[in-house]
Amino acid sequence: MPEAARAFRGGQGGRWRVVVALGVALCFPRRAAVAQEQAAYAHRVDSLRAATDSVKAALARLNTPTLRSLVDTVRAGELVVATEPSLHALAAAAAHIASDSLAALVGGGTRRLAGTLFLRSAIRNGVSELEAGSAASSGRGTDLPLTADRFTVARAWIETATILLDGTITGDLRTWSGFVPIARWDDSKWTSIRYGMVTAPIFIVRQCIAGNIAACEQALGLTPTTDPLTQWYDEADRLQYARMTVRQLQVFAAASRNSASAFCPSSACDSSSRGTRDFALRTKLAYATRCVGGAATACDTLFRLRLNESSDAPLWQDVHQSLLREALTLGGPDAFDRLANSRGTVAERIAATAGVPLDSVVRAWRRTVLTTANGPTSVDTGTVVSSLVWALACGTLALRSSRWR
Amino acid sequence: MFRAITRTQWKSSRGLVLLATILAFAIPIASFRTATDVRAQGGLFLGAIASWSVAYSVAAAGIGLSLAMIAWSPDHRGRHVYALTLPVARWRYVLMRLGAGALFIAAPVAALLVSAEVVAHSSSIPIGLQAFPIALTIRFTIAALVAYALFFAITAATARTAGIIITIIAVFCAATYLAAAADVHTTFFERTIEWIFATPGLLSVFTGRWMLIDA
Repeated sequence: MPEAARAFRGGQGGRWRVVVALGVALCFPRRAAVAQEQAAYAHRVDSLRAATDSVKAALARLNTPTLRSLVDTVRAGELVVATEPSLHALAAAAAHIASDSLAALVGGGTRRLAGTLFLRSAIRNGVSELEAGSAASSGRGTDLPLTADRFTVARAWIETATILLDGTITGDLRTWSGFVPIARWDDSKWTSIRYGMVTAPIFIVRQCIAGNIAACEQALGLTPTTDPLTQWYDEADRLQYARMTVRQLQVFAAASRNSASAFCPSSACDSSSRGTRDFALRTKLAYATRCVGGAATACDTLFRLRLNESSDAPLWQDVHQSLLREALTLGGPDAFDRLANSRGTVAERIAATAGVPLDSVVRAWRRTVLTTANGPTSVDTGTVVSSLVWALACGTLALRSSRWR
Repeated sequence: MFRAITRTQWKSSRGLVLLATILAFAIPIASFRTATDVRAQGGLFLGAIASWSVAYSVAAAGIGLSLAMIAWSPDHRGRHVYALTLPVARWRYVLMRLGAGALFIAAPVAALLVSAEVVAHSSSIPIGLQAFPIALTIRFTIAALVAYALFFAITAATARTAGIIITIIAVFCAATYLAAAADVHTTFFERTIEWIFATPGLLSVFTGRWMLIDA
């Protein structure tokens, strides 16, 4: 029996050798053919890409404004605009509007734009259009209809100018604010800042709203903090965060229950990070659950985990921008120039922009946030009058109803 | 005569007025309670308050509609014979019916004001938020009056006229739905809706923010 088995195994091995040899023999030419096909395909793709690139380059050459061809120039205040003779009148009218608006927004900062703005005619996809923009911003402007009036052209320039001027601000301040809010803010933006702040479950923000200016500075990340855990959040905030965490993680776990890992569905993370992430979330859930159960130390640990993830000041970038907007308003026409030329910490640059000490800027900002006109909660006079007129009209219509049925 | 009409109308409306008064009193307190609970659970206070906004407008519309229908119910039941027997002009009779019904709106409005004021004086309102009890009550009153006048006029008309109005509304709604389903792009429906719901449209008071507490 063992001999027979050995003989059989030997027979099998021999047969396998033949099968493998045949497979290799058959696959080799096939692989070679596939490689040939792939090479041909790659060659075709490359040649098509080259053709497309040359068409794109030709189109780009056609579309790029050649400022040399814009022989006419218009001067309005600090603005110098290049244009074509046929568009001179429109460019001049628009330049005056844009110059006045930009002077009101950034004062002397308008000088930084001198000679970069243009207005020209262009043909896009066979349609004649106007193009207003700046040679400094990739040379591509905003497409406008041929019928665009001076206000539309001025608006396009102002938008381009604010983007260009925003790019001139660098350093920590840029990271802190994201972008520079050069244009004036309407009431709805301030209201939205107030919405966010008054509902934020953050102790230090509540202190700021209540009138503590030092708290505002800390919440904005303008002054350092020794212990964010106790200085930014109180016990109620920590408990609220724990409740929220428990709810979110339970929902998350329920949503990914069918996956191999409760907290890390296969679509969300790869196998190497899955275990780490799973463990981190389980730990977080355990601390949050104990915190909700009344363990104060668990609340503290949970919050320290959160602060390890992000130790940024509790107020977000929109709020930072609102402070910068307030500083620009306080600083008057030259505020933008001062901001662009300033150096130092974020707090120092904001004070330099406003031309007053940081405390005064923050105090004024807090007042603006809290007092800017409320949203449309109060019914406006137009709605009151029109509604009463409609009610009277309906009543009068009813008076005219027939007594005969 | 106005007093007599008011008294008879009160008899048929009092149940509804009582219910409307309780409802109007309950909404601000319930919304505040919910928002406080939501906040304690880590949710958004203003979001919870906003979710109750629709309750105010629906209550105002419902109160207006019900009072208008009840105002005419004795006449519809008696086939308008009683009105014919009275020695007053038709318009004066209708005006008295209209006035009596409008008077009953005062009860839920007063209840809403009291309840909203109670909430406004609560110490649990988060710092930085403000209560708008008067603004909300004014909006509620006007909305209830518009709904009342509108449905009073529709109910005062003959059954045929009321049928035509309801048919027009139904056809409009169906056409809007069908146009959306068939992916037909037209601004007609949007413009009509805007004409009705944007100031100075007939139902403009029903849109906007019905927030008892706001930032």
